[in-house]
Amino acid sequence: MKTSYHTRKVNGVEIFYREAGDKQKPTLVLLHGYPTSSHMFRNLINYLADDFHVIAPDYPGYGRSEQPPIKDFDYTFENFSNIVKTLLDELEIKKFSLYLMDYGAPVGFRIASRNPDQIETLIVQNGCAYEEGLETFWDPFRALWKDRNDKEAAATLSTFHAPDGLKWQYTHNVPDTSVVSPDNWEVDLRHLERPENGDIQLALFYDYRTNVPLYPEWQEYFRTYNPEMLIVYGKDDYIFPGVGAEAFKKDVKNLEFHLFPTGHFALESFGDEISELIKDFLIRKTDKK
Amino acid sequence: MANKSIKEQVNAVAYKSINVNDTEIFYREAGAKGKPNLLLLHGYPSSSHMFRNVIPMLSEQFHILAPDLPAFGFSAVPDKEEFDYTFENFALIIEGFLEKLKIKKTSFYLFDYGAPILMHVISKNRVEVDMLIFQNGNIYEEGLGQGIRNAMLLFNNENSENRLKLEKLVEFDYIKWEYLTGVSNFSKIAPESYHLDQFLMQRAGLKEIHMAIKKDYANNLAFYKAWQDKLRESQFPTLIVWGENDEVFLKEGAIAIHNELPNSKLIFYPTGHFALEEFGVEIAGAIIDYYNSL
Repeated sequence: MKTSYHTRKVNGVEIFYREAGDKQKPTLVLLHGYPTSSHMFRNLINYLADDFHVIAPDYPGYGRSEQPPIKDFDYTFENFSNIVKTLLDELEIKKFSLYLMDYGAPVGFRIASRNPDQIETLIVQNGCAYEEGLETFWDPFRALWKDRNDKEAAATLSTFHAPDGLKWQYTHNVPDTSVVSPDNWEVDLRHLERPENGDIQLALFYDYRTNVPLYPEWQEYFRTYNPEMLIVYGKDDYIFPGVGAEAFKKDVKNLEFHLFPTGHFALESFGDEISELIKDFLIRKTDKK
Repeated sequence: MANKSIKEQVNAVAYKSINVNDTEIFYREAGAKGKPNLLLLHGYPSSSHMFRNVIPMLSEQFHILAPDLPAFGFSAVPDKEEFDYTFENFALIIEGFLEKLKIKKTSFYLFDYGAPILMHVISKNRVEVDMLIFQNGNIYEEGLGQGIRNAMLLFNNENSENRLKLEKLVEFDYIKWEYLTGVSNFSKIAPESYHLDQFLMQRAGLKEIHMAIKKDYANNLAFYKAWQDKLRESQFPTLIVWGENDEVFLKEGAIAIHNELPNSKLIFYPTGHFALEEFGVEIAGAIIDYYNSL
């Protein structure tokens, strides 16, 4: 098979990543969302492996990466972005495209806005950089951001990575749910049911508040550096609805824009279509090294 | 850009379930109905998940059905008191599954537990055999690895000490061992393979059920002679693809099938039991090539 599976100690934490393709070809870094892992990219990686060098890390506490105890490690988006950037530096990846989905957006936009010269292209799939993209789903988050000890908000939020909520994330507003593999949530649950993992999820829900004030910085980065961007978005996502995709149009000049009639994990139901768009986009927009 | 969508719709995998003999059976389906059927049956401790990478490739040629056996993967786990966890009963489930889906003729992929189960099915002559693919699925004494031989001895003399040894066969270390032993390049083995199996094994009651199935494995040996006769008399078109470093089912088992079926094609791969994890692309290609050569 084309994908290989690796681990590497980064800033003291064992980081798991999937890799495929020739390192001489343009690199695409795939950044996964909550509460999954690089497993969400298993089919996309295989599709792109012949033409690109693809890397997909798992964040600490997710997938097959180490889950350091919460007392020893800052589970923050800032820290995740530092770890991902350090991994790329250590692998000597100097230029790359980023695929930003869900949590991958705040991780990846931090990296992109701080290292604009290293960015070849940005591919955004149900990842947010605009406050108007945070609709009703985000009400319990806002309650938690106001009061870290809001038990009711914490209880509501924890249902989204319990078995039923997790399945809902994968299937809500998907036109034909029979195409969504149950492998997704069962593999996620293997990691989510580790001791203390629930507290880690909660820490990141709370830390998400640090992303919102950075949105204007990222928007300024779009205006200043004019990155090439492909948006492939499940427009019926309840978590990051299509309005958040539309918002990019205000600031991104070099934008190719595609909405799909599906939900949050758009790759599960429109994987073939999205993979094909990405391949075509990267062939046109990246340089063969 | 959307011009390929019709082809891709056909190739998309669907995840379904159907009630067979009062048990909810989960299955993966891909490829257009009307193409030649190919039934993929998993082994221990896996499920149709083991075919996830080859299904899209094989569905270009075949209508694929890959069911999970009861207590495996995403199929139901009937109570031990209400369901007979034996290879003969698993064969009845597969027969019922094919009947419900109105499959009258199909190719079969025989791997690990799937080999005895499908040989039970094939021997009853209710379904026409198009082609057989044996992949580390054994029906010869010489193909039995030392681990299975030891387990049969321990089950025959089941005391508390032997029971403790046998229980290792349903633990994570053994599950991982089955995926990693004999492979050429460890970095090619997706960790979700054994982690998904382990996650499902941790459910209440699963280990007892899997111990019962393991105990029943010895009952397959009494059928070996009949199954070998069946192969020899029928001379089904047969492809043998085998991880030659497998310690569960030895390469001697592959050679024995090849000797029984002189027109069969035998290909060894430098890997272990779950050969598809490392050589899925090559094996899927070999299956399509062999089928087209018939």
